[in-house]
Amino acid sequence: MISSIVSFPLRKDSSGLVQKEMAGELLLFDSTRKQAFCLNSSAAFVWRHADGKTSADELARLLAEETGTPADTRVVDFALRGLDKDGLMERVDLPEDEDANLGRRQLFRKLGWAAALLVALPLVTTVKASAHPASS
Amino acid sequence: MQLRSPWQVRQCVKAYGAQVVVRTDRAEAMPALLSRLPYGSSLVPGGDALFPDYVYSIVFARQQGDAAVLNRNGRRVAICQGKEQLLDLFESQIAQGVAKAARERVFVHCGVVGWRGQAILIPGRTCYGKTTLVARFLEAGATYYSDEFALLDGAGRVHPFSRPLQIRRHPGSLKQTPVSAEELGGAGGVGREEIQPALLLACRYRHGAGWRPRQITPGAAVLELLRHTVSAYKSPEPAFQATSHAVSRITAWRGWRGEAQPVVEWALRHLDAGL
Repeated sequence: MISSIVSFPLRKDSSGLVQKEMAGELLLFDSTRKQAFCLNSSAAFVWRHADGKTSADELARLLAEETGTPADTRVVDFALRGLDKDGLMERVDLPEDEDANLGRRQLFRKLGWAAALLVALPLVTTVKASAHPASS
Repeated sequence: MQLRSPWQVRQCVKAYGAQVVVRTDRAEAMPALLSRLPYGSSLVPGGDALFPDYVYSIVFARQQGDAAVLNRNGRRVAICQGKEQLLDLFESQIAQGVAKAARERVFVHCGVVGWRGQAILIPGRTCYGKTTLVARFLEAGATYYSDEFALLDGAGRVHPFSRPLQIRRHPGSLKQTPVSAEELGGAGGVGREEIQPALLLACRYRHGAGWRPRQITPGAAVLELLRHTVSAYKSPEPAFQATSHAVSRITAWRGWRGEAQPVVEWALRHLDAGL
């Protein structure tokens, strides 16, 4: 599926982020917001390649090559929305379409991929450090 | 006119690179207070610190027996009606203070036991059932490290914080009774050396739940540890580094648990199979 709007997503400046790669995942720590993020390999791939010069369509093609999944901009859009929601994107320029509010499993059903490919869908998890973590 | 200090005694305490001062207007109360210092603390001769991280002040009411006010850095934490309440609260507060200010270790709310030289981490907040699990592991022969904090160094190894276990005799009760690892009858003893984590169990008690854990990724395990890291807000980068290293050689699992015994048997089988 080809997106009708050409967007050139751009990730946020990563100079304030501590980065660590771990078993294909990318861990990011934002010291200013005191928040940690874990990007699975697909989300990490999209984030790294969102350089403001690569279009979302091109990202979809590159991601498909990387993960061996069918090329589909809905997957990239989903990743970008997740990354944007977590404040990791500078610009996403995404269309407000019916897929905008889909959850990960809903998108997976819509894509009709084989069950084994669920892990290839982008996933961003986060935790915010608390000034008062609960005691024992 | 010279004002007289209300503090009859003051004592500086060092622990894991943190410095705290304890002072009170009743000298005879100090020994009992010092008996509740966190594991690994030492007294600094001279009794004072130039730049303490925290100052705990205990002011007793003049005509009300053991009623006292506990302050931290000049701010009231609580009014305690009796000695035991004061000591319990002081112990918990000073442990939190040291955990936040520690520079040599990263404190993660975690139960920790050792099994054949490797650590099992059980992160979780209060009433998640950490101590119960730790106690069952000890009965199965594991080595005791901690029922409250995993002390991580920069390389992610776990150091002992082997205070007596704080057992709740009644489910949901906040009152804890100290029980030594030896009293639980475990043959594994108490850990003295740092060890590398091998297994993380992110589990929470739910009555009647069966143990069907789901494996989580190393990245998710880091987030799980960070969520329970006391200094993550104040000193995020060391916390991030230590927790990242700690999960470098572990398998991590998440799930609800009912009784502790099936979890213990599963975990020890899992570790033995991987050795």
